Amino acid sequence: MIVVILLAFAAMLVLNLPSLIKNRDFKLIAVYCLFYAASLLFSLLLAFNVKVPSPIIFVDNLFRAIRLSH
Amino acid sequence: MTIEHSKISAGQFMFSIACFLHSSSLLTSFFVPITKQDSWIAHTIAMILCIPLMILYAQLAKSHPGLNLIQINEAVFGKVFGKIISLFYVWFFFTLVSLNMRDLGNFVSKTTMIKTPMPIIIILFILLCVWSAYYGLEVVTRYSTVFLIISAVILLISIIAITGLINPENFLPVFDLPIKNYIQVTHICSTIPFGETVIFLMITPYVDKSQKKLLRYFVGGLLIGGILILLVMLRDIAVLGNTIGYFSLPSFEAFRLGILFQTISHMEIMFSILLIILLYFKISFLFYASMLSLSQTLELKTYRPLLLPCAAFVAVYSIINYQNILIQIKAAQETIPFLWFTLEILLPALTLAVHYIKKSAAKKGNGKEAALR
Repeated sequence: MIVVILLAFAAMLVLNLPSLIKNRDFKLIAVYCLFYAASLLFSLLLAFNVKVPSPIIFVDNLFRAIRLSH
Repeated sequence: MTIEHSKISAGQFMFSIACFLHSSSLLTSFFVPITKQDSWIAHTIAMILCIPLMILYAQLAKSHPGLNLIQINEAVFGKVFGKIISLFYVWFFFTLVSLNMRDLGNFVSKTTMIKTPMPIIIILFILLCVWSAYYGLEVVTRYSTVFLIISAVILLISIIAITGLINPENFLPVFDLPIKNYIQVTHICSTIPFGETVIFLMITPYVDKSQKKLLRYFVGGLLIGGILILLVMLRDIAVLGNTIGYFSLPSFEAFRLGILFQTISHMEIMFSILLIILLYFKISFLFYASMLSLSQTLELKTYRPLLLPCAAFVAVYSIINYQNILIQIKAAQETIPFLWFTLEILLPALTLAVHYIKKSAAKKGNGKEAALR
């Protein structure tokens, strides 16, 4: 599973890297790296069966705490 | 800065709203356990109550011609505060993509492809959505009319197939539940399928030659989509009665019972095909709008290189967002309507109010300057 994830992310890099280098848009490269790193990290955590916190569950708990629920 | 250069017709815009809403037929399981056989009443009330919401969206688009939701936020609240609000919308749109993706994954892995792991279904589907989002708005919305016609035909066939099973007594008793249940379901319906049309404010500048008639198309889309969901609900209640609340997929069960011309059975496969088509449209559109909002908030020149890492992010997000369908349904019934209310109703209303206050202040300022001269 981990090998499949790493291969998929490597393929993604091979597909996108030439156009990113060609454009030389550093803001775009920074945003790309952010999403790439976040999705790679969370995918690996899921593959290792690590419980990843969900932002929607956090908001759900927050709304319940302030009694904003039916 | 404009990232999208293509234009769509007003008809495509309206049918896209209708198709977007109709794809929420799967979500009836969020509220049918609360109002059971009376769900259609609460749904109709929500649909009528959402007409002023469509007026609000159309007015917001009309007051800022050529600007989408992200650009309107910056124009009204200024660069810093506008960007903070826009980031909330970006999160909201990505959450919507992931939630719908999870719904699709759950549906396919529980009904049609039982042995396939859900992540595989999600990954394959998001790749298809990346493909359509890559080609932009025109490709994403092009087939909305065709999808809507196909779904209306399948709905008609399903109604014919279950004619023998319809029992008018299944609608009784009417208004027998506590008033609180009707209010809760009206709240859920108005925020979960109907209020989500706020995302269409991302594409209003790209609707061809009809900026002044936007209200007509917003309301038209709401009514077509809302009536189609209403028909789905009426059909399911007519067949299942007050047992409707016990099924996680009431429409699927209603289709399963249908027999056409005493020979064609197992019609649930038609429901599966229909739902996958509609959810493909909805997720593609949501994904495209999410990418557009992200690139405009961060002032990027294009969103295309970001499609694959964002798709990977959506796939992971859809797996982690809720542990199981029961937790998701509980959240959709209790807290999500309040959260969505903030982003779909409160913030657009505040934006329009601030716009009018600024406009009248500017007028007064101009009047004083003229008097001094």
